[in-house]
Amino acid sequence: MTEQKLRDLIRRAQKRDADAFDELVDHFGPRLFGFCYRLTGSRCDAEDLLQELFLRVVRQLERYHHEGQFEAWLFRIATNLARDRIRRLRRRPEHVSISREDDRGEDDASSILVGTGSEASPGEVAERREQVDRLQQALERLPNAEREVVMLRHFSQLSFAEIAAAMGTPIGTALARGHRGLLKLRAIMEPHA
Amino acid sequence: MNEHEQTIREIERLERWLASFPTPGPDEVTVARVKSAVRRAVAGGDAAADRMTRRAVAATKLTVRNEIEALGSTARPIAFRPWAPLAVAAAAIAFAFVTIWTIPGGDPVTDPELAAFVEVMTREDDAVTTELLNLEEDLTLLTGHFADDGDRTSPSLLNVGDLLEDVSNDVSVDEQEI
Repeated sequence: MTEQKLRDLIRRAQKRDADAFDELVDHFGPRLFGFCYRLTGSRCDAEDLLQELFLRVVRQLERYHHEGQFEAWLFRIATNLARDRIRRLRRRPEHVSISREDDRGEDDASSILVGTGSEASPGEVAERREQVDRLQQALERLPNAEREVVMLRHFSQLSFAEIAAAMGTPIGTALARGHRGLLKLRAIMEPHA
Repeated sequence: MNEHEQTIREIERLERWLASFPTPGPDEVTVARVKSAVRRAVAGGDAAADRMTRRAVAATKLTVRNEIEALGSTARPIAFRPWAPLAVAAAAIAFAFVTIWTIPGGDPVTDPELAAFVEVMTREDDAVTTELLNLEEDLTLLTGHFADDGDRTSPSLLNVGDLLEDVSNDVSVDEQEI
């Protein structure tokens, strides 16, 4: 989406044009969902957070002043919502992991894979599902700060400088967290590489 | 190539590796549900959200007051409360802050970050925020009491805690730094 198109969309949405919000959901929704899913480890939570996020956008957009940071703004809301959700889950004694087994049925896993259409064989779907789960388990072993930077880079189009600005950290810190997180992630996923 | 450039190269290589994994995305039902909720919110405006917030605060307040009344005479002296050290620490910080602030001849608030901090610390809260703060204080007292007694926290209190978080987040989540 071009900057001009985004600017127009935001202006229309600020005037409460529902079609403009639809376009924002279509454009940013998939990546925001993926981001929330990777941070919470739960499809249900990611769905809830996505809806909650866009409802906040409806309420807050009038006060938003666009200076080319819309994506950073969205992902900052998503990060805070996901943090709150994770904190709440961990406070409950029955949740020891941010992933829940009951949230990982076969239907759930296949439905969250982008690009898994009717052309994929059951074997391929199962393999992709296994990859999604393995990566999720590996991500959960990263410290929160590293996981957030790695996932922000993966799902948003933000540079390290923009992530650092959004997180209020020096760019070196954001780079170090991203680098360390990725190295750990690969070491967990491919211990013999 | 210097160390910084090598790090960037390695990050890019690792990011390409990560990108090779399947990406989770929402299904059509989820997207339709989000759009529908957004359309309802757009049509209803902020008034509905405000009403929900007020109702949530009122319900929370009632629940907390009931819990406090139920505690009755079992309340303990303040010195034995688990949060007493926190209160002392907060008072000490406040005292230190006021003392530094009022040093004669000092240049008052030249640091922008300090000025922002002072503004936040000295700003009067609006009615809803004040109510939330009072409720959170009550909750701290109650949960501290249960923990002190080795009891499990009352389920209704957990619900209240969640409710409070919802209301607080509603106000502040998009304004926090990540």
